[in-house]
Amino acid sequence: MGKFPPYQYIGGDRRFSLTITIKTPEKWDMWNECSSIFVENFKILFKYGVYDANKYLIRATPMLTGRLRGGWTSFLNAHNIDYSSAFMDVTMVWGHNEPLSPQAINEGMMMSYYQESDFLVTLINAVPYVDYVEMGTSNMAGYNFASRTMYKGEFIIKKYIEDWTSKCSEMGEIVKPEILDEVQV
Amino acid sequence: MTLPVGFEWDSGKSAMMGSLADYFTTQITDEYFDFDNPILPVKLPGYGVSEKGLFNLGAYAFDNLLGYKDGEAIYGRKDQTLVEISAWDDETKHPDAVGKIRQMRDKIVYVLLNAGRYDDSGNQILPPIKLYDYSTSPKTEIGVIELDSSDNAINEKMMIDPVNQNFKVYKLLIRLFWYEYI
Repeated sequence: MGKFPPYQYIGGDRRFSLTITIKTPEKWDMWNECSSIFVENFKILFKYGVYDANKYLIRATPMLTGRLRGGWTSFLNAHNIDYSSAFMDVTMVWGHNEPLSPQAINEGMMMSYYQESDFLVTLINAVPYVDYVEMGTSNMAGYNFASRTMYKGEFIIKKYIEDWTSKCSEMGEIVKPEILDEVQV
Repeated sequence: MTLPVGFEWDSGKSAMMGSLADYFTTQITDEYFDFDNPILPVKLPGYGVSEKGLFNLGAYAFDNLLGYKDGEAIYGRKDQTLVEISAWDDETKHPDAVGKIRQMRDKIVYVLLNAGRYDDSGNQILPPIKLYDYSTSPKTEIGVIELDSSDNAINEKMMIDPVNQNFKVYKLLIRLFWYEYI
């Protein structure tokens, strides 16, 4: 073993100096650029996933007048996403024979809030009985629409990532994610 | 071609929920269980257990590698569902109803977390939750059930019933996986 000082003494401190030289700066630039392209596209992918999870949440929420479903619409409205088919779908809840109440839907929409950042979206439904319908009572079964959406959301995002990474691998570059068919997801 | 009359899928949800009920009542012998009842159990204190479902078409396929037994690879089918387990009690009959439902909650969580696990000394804490085919006599072991090992395997909330505030309930929504050997 050759002798060399393991660290450089400066005053009372012990410090270690290290110089790194990148011999292929063009590759570094490529990876650097890739990183920002990846993040930008991942933001798009995340939003697509949230749109689908939000639509699933509407679909899984029980419907009588439409107020409760209206309480989940603010985020989709803000992004001009069409959720009409999810709103009218009763395949996951009880059969609906009464006409929807436009007034009740409007009330629900007025009680729908959201907060949004790049990788976090919070949906708030302030319709007063939302907890009871979600969790149930001693004489009514809970519908667990929010809990089920949480699990379904994991699957939706996973599906988006799998499809996107496969497409990127196929094309040999980072491509823009494609929106999937929400019902098929 | 049609399904035979009286068809039963031996590793479907019916077998899974039957096996789960069998396990709970074998492991927790001092509490009352009301299965497939999502509302107030007929006897209190008691558990209400009901399946909620979580179906993802294509999420899990046949031929998953489930692990190894005696050096041999075991392949099987992995499936999942959500089950709600609610621990109920009535404060007019039992003054410490809240304490009671917490204890009942603890029993369920302990059983689910320790089923098939071993302690540091190598002793099995509780037997695994086996999946049985009940169409044969005697029943035959065809797989295993386990609690999802991820962070959100159990979602729980303690509530006072809004209809009758004397009823206290601990609600657990759990994600279970079950694996069928092939």
